[in-house]
Amino acid sequence: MKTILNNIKEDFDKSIKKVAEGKNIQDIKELQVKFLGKKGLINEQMQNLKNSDNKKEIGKHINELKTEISEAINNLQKEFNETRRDQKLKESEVDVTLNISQKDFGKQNILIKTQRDVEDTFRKLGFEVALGQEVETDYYNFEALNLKEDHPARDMQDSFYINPKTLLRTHTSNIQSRVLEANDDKEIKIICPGKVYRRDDDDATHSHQFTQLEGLVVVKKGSEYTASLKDLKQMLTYFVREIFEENNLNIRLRPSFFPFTEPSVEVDVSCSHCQGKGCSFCKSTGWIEILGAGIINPHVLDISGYSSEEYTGYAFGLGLERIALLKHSITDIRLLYQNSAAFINQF
Amino acid sequence: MLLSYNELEKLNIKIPLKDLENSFFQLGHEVEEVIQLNIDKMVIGEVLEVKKHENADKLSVCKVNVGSEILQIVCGAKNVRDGLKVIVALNGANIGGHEIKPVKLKGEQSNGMLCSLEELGFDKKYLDPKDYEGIYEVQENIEVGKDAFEALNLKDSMLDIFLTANRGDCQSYRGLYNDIASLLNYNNKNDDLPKYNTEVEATYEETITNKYEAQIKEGSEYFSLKLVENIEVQNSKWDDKVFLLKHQIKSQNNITDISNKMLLKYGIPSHIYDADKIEGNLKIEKLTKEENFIGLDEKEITLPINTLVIKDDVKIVCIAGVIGSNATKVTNETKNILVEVAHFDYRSVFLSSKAIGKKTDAALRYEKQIDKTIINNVLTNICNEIKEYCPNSKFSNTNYTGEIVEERNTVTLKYDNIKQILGIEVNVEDVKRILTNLEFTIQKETNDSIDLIYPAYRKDIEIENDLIEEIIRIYNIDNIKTDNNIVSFSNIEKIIPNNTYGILRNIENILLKENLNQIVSYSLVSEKLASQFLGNLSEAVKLMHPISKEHSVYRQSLIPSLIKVAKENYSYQEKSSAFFEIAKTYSIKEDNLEELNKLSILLTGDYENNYLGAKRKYNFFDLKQKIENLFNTLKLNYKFEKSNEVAELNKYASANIYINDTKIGFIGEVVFDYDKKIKETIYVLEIELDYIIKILESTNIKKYEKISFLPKIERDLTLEVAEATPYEEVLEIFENIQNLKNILLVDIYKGEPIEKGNKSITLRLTFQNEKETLLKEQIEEEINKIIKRTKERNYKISGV
Repeated sequence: MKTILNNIKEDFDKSIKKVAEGKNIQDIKELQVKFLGKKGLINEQMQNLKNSDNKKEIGKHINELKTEISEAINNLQKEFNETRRDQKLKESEVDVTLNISQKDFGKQNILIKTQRDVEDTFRKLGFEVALGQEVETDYYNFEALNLKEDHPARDMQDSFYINPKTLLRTHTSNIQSRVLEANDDKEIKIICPGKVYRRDDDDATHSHQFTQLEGLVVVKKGSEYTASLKDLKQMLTYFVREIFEENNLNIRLRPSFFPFTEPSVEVDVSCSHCQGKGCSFCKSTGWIEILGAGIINPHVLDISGYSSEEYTGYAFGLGLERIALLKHSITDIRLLYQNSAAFINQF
Repeated sequence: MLLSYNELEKLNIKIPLKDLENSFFQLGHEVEEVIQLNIDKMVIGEVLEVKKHENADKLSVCKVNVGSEILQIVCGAKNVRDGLKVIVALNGANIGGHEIKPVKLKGEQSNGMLCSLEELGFDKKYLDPKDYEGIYEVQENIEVGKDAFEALNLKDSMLDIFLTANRGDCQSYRGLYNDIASLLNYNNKNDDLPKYNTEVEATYEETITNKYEAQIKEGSEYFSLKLVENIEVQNSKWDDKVFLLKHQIKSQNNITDISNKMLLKYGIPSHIYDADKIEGNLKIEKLTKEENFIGLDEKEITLPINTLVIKDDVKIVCIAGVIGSNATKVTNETKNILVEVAHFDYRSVFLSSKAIGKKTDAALRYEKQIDKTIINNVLTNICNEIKEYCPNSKFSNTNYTGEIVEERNTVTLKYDNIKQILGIEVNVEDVKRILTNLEFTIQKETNDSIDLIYPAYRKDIEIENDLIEEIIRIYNIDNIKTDNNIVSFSNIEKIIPNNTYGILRNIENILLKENLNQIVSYSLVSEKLASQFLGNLSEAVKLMHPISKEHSVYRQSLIPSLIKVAKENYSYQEKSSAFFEIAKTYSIKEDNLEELNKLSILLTGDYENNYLGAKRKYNFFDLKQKIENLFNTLKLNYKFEKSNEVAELNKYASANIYINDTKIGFIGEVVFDYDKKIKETIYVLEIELDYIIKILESTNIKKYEKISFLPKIERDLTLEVAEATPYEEVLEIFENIQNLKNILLVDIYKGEPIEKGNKSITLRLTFQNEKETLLKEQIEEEINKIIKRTKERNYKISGV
């Protein structure tokens, strides 16, 4: 009897080895049927046991063999499942170093991006964005801003007139004129971004079309707010640090002249290329001119119906092309208007 | 304005150059450049011997005594000769970036160079030909071996100062001196620098009668004339020549040079006529007809009507405040002169100098308004200098016409406003010191204000803010220190009535997510481009004086600009483009300006170009999809209708776009022959955003709709319809079908076995009900409705 069991064991060992090598899931089922099935070899011995005289001992041996076989089959089954799962997973194998090399989102021309960044910086400080028309009467573009008729900017040679009284705006201050006129007893804090035009030939540093952003703050004297040169300087220090993403930048004011502000100042920012030591970027001065500003000329307020006795404020204006060029070391303003994909996609 | 460091030193401004530059900067007068007039190793020499060079016809071999030694120098100048005193550049001297070294010239040793004034760094424009054509002949009695720049008074630092438009007075030594002296006096706390002297005593006697008197018809307030007889026109003294040369003015003769010198010193122009060339008497008037004129510069020009001129009885002798006539100018033969110092209306001078395109030194002063109060002093000064040159000259009395009326208003300064405007305190004593240093006169004083009268030359002072600017210029604007307390204006009431900006930003962001780049192109385009894509030249905003044809009209459509950008990119091997622009357009409609905000999108080239995707070109539907995505995100009701309105679009592949039945734009394929150079098909669309902005201004917050988790039932339907049938028409058969949640277009097929002229459309219908599970019968009922409708329309059903 023992010999029979040994033979079964030998047979099983051989069979399972074969199945394991064959790696066919079907073979496991056959193996199971052959040895553990109702009519399988183990059951057959169980049947035969009835006629045996050493039931207890032989039965024990059969059961041991059964357990051994069934464990071996289960293990092989597991192994097979594992392999099969892995194969399934492997179907999705990728070379993770590959990429599609295609962008899936739009990019803004860096000029627009710069404009949005500048606008957002001022919006954080509570400025509202005011938009306005590009074709403007000379009243709103010049007169309301204290630019008298003999001012050089009013020369037909310098501006794009469409008739003797109408022109393409030369700055976005026309929005300020209109906002001041539409209100006469409210405090104001606006920025006015937009396209402006001057009769310049296009070259690396000049453009007949460019983008300006002007700011205007009007406060009531004695109110919660002040708008002095000091406030302006502080606000602009914050602005340059935000926009050029450098916390140690400083600004300096120097007296200048604009018809719509008095006192007027030019604003220089410390050169971030050389930390103020002087380099070719700042022409060895350590400073770079970035904008013009000043206290609103009381005439401008009076022209627009505000009482300069009661109200005061500051105004500033900056060229967004200049900011973009400085920030990104771009040397030709025309690149901003060419819209070459290679240029736009860089930023 | 060029300013000589030496001249300022003579006026007792004795501070290092760098400090002087910084002081001017603080005052708002930026020193743009310092021109150093000096070259090391330049000495005065004497030519002892000149021999012809044996191997070169044009060269001479000279022995030159330079004090310490005698050098052999080869020289090419024709005027080199024995006994001549010359300027010698020694070995090591740097002449215009070229270092002088010992050399052999055709076999002869040369140790140095004999120089012309041009080689010393002066532009030919300001030199007499004889001073640059040959070597410079030193006339003055100067010891051999002395430093040439020092000995000739050429050594100097010239400050090129940028002046702001309001400071006309600073176009003179007087103006800039007074500014800098005020600053230095304030800083030193003592007033040791006096004001610039304008008062002089006449050193001549008036012995003859002035027969000239001008008649003012228009444009002048004050006109003074003095006759000087028996003068001698000669070269100016070296010092006068050098003064002008340093200021980049060419020396002409003693008489003209005096006039130019006074202009630089006082900022007051004067004009000197050859009295014998004046026929009759003088009058000042505006031209009533065009006239030809030849000026001192010997160029003939036509003067337009209204030019302010000075005429004698037969001719124009001067364009008032701009330039004198060639016919009456002072020449070497001139014996008698008429000296004019006048005040002209700055507007007239501005207009005439603009009209004739001449910005002379005189015009630049008059345009900014001169100080009338010193006219007579300047005239006396001129005559004093003439007297010095020509001791035998005879002077007449001054004839003047008009009157000097100088109105100066009082300006009140309230101390409180200083803090209000500057943000810092300046104490009252400092305020008063600053303003009196600047020659303001205190008229009245109270505890919190002062009334001031400004000096006559300060034409820029008008209001209190001007005074505060003066204070901070001298007090030093750097004393405004920041303390990082940024004023945020968040509590100020909002005044911008609508949110156009926010809506435009939102639209922009949605489109960027659609994988479209955002570009910015020029608003001004050519007439050709302006008339495309529904542009109408007769309604366009056209420039009166464009700089080029390419930028002469404000565009009414952005599309031509977009195509231009795509075309340029194409030429840089960038064959695919997908971008948009948002910009304004303008038209003039019945004399009213119409402003629109427009959005245009362009697609061309490959839709995908990578190893994963199926390579294909962009098509009409890609573009339509992008704009539909925008409309859907913004929750707008839209529709497309086939259209052939735009000539540049393929009439078989273009449509109008509607929002709520209002037409807002168009979409389509650009005709293949739009531009022969473009080989790819281009798809464009343009919509007006204004209607959308109006809709979106009213808040439109989406309310939650109940979600159904009940089963969906899908049924496919295949129809055969005439090829020309629009999809939208086919969709009409599904109107009011119950529980139909979605219709998906699965396929469109033309060709075998479909009958020619027909197309087959397969649609997937999704049925669902929020409340109950649909029964098969319910759906069958709806399908039957649909089938009935297809039959009415003669659509064939090839599968349900």
